[in-house]
Amino acid sequence: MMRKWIILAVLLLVVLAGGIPLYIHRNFKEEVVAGEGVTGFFKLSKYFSGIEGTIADTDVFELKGSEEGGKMLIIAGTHESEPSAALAAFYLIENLKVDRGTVYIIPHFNRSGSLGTQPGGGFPLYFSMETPWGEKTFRMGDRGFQALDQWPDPDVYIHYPEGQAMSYIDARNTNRAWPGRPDGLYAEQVTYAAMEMIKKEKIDIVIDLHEAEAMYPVTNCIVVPEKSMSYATGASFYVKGREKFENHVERSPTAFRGLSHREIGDWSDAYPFLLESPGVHLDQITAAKTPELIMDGIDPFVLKAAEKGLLFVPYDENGFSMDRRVGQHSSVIQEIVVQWSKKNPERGLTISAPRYKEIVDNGLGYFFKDPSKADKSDVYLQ
Amino acid sequence: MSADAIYMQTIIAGIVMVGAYVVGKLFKFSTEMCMFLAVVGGGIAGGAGFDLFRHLAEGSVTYLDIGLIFVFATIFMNIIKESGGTNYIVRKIVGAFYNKKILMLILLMCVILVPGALTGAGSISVLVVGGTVAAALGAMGLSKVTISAIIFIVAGLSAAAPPINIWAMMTCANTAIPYVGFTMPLLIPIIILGLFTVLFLGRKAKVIDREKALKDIPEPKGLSGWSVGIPFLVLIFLLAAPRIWPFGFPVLGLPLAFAICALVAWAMNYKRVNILKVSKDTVSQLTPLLATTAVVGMLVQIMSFNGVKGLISMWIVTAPLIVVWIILPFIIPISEGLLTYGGAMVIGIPLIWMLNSNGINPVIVLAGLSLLWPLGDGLPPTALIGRLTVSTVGYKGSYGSFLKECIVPWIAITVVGMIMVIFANNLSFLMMVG
Amino acid sequence: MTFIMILYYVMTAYVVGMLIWNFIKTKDIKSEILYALALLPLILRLLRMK
Ligand SMILES: [Zn+2]
Repeated sequence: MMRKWIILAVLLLVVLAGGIPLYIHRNFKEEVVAGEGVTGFFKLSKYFSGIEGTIADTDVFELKGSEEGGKMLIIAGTHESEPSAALAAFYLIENLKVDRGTVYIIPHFNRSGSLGTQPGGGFPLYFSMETPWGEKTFRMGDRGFQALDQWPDPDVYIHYPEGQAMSYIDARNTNRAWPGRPDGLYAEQVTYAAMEMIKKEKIDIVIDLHEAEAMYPVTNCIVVPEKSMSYATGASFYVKGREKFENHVERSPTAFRGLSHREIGDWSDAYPFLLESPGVHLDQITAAKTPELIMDGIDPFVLKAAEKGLLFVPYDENGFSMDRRVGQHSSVIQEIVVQWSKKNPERGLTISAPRYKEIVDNGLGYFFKDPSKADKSDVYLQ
Repeated sequence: MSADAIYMQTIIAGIVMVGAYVVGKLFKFSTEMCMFLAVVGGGIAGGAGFDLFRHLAEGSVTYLDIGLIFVFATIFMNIIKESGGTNYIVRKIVGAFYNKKILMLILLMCVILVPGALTGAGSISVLVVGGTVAAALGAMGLSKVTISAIIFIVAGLSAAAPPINIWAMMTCANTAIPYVGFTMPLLIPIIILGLFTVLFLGRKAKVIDREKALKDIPEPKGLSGWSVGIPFLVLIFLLAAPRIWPFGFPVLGLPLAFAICALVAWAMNYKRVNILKVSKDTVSQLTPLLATTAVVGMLVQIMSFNGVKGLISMWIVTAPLIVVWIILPFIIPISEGLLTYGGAMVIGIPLIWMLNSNGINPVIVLAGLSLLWPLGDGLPPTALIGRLTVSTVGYKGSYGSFLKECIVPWIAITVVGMIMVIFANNLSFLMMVG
Repeated sequence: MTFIMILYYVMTAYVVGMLIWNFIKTKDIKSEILYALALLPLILRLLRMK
């Protein structure tokens, strides 16, 4: 009898000592200080009330220039295990200046995904960054909706409306759900709301920020459908020539459904661009999954694979730091806007924020403001 | 930390894990317990500190849904068994085809294939239909060792058979490869290998002694064909409906679909079946499997956390392909014998990842590998299904003699599996049909 | 929370109940440990921790 109580006590210990940190992580808030560019803040449910009050609803920051112009939507956190996306969004919310046109930024598109890490992934719950005023901490997230928010999985996920069969895992994946439907799974509802926004606001450019494994062919690149091709190629040439980093262009396959770079272009007048930066922590072959690995992307096993020619990105012992990944996102977004505005002057945008080199030289942390010193009304909890 | 220090630390973590496992085995702990010790050792060696508990908790839920599928699919199958449905079906087969030896063997093979295919666990085939099928095979004059071999091999194939193949599902979940298109690449080789197994091992079978068989398999009292058939029709409907009305039918998930079938089966046989008792016995039967899914999740979590998975992956992806081809037929069953599903996670994930990024069709490779994994369920130290089969059939000879009886089908399965792995791209057409 | 999701919590609770019942009944330490391991993920889900 005594033995049974001891075993139960140990079980309870593991449940509490293991479960409470997970609960705290789920309720941890990241702080973002709205920069001078931010002119508005609302929920995505503004465009589709069906997600109001649900985990699928998410925050939208509006940065409107003084001059009328084109419109751009930047989506981060489609996959919340790819943190340079959300960090690039935070960085832009704090630093982007918009003179002409309007930029909308969604930092956590899959908010549920940002509230937990991948079971079996062995990731840290948090990672942090040095700033001039101290340490800034972020939540690590998961690729898809959390089981706490969407349960069960179907035994096969069928894409709406094309009917393509996909893995049950993809029923939680916001980048297999485009263009979405109002009465579908959460991922379909949030993409539906975004599609409504894109159509109603007449968005010209949609940027979807991601990271991918260094061993995966579609990484360190801009993925675009035919119609966005010339802008992406122009941006890719520019950053290679002037900013000295590689970022090739990949064509969006027509047969693979549900992806932002495919469906947004097919179902609206907007021009989609999916940006991938190399997130080495996502690779299968890394050493320990530490917060440092997420931040600096230095890994000896990945380096070994690089020496064997198995990677799809240039990689050396300096790794692929968060500064570089966010810097790439910043430069490529700005260059896409430049290319776009050249060819579509009547729908042009004028935006500016420090680019790749400046971010790498100063460190990303340099560009984040101290929430404790900021005006309370400018601090948003994410 | 320098690269060398990281290598060193990872290797030490790996050694600690192996050491903890071996120590557990020396103390004669169960395999699940040994794996758990390896997890704890690996977490401490990886420097998790207090965060170890979080890793245990988070890892344990990785395959929660698979555990629930096991439970409710098995409750369903056990209700069918308790109600006399299994005996009913086998008696019908014997009654109708007693004078056709080969047809009998083939039909009995199909009976073994169904429960494992539906639940994803070969042990369910053994538990639910093993005894009944053994009686029928015995009446055909086959020895107990041959019967054990037939049931073990076909039950192993049943676990790999569609729609539920746990190895493939777990690997897909961790490699972002769609669990789609497996039906034919699994079904076709499994039917061929199943036929080969029963016809080869059953080559000495005689025409069945109808009287003996019907005497050995008790007749279920007052059972109608409907009460056996309707639950299966409901199951077929629930599995097909999401594909027929993908945007109209609610997402039930497999555990609930099986739970509904279990309730239907119980409703049709409520006088014969005590559902609480069946549930309790099923959960007790399945506890080793449920504990395994929890521990394998922790194992994957910790090995990812401390980099041991990455180290093994790196060895695999940087090894010459020919070396990989040569060791696979051995390492796959052995890893299953040591770690059950953990073996698939440790070796399968990096392998599939590497082959996929080399442009090799991962679905065919995974289908091929998942023919080999169930063989490991007959290998010590776990020998989970092998031992279960021997005891269900009541074979009293040595375990080695049972394994020897399995050798020819074992080699056939290995050859077919490896052909699928090596020539995956030439066999991609298999996916087209299904 | 959807109706089907509630059913999943009910199903989880049912399995937890069966495991605890078996846990109380068993005399064997190996089985007790296996029950505890099997219970861990189910309890975490019931408490909505993961
Ligand atoms: Zn992504």
